[in-house]
Amino acid sequence: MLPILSGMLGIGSGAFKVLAMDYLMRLPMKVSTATSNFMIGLTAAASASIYWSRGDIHTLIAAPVAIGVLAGAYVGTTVMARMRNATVRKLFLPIVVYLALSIIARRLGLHLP
Amino acid sequence: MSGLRASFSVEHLVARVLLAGGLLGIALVVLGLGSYAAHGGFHHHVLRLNRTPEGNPSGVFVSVRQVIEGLRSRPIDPLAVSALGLVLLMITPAVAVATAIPAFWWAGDRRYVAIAAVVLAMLVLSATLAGSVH
Repeated sequence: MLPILSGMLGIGSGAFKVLAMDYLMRLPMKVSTATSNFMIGLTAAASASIYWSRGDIHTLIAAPVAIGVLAGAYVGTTVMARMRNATVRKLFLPIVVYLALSIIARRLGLHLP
Repeated sequence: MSGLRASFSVEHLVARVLLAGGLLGIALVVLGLGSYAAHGGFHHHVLRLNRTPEGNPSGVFVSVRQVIEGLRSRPIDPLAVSALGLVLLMITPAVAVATAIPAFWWAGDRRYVAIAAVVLAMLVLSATLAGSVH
């Protein structure tokens, strides 16, 4: 359900998957974020092939973004591995709140920074 | 205990595949962009994003065949090299799942063989239906 919503609304379903795994499945925060990351890779691969074949992915835009994303993901994962679960959860909370507000604002025609 | 050890080795294998695919993909992306910049690609360039009746703008590849054509052209299209890296990044998760299937089988975890097979089938189906595998 989350990937469908993600595709339709352009929301970051990964954040909400983490929320579901953390609160509903009671998984440790690090396991939730790692599992969510892997799942995003799979769902993104499925949708990326569709966008790509439609000609919606421009190499000159996607390539620099891919470099930044991979570098950021590597640093983030390395830092996260050294953090405590409680710290990861505290960092995660404002991001989910921002995402929720961002989605509401977008539906109302507003744009958060 | 042996099952636990086996499951860890599957995860290790998948992690290796993901890392290798990610690094190789990004290396090609950097190589292509570097070559594009070295040939002055960024100097006289206004990025055109809209499709025209003639087709997609330069830098937009919609199939593996187009990427291969770009790689075969002389001089080699540097953006095709970057596009190959992007393709590699896109297929890496699917390759990781495909690798996990025999690894789970070897570990004797038939349930996860079935789950991984279904996930892989869905990925292949989406790529096939999208028409990018040609």
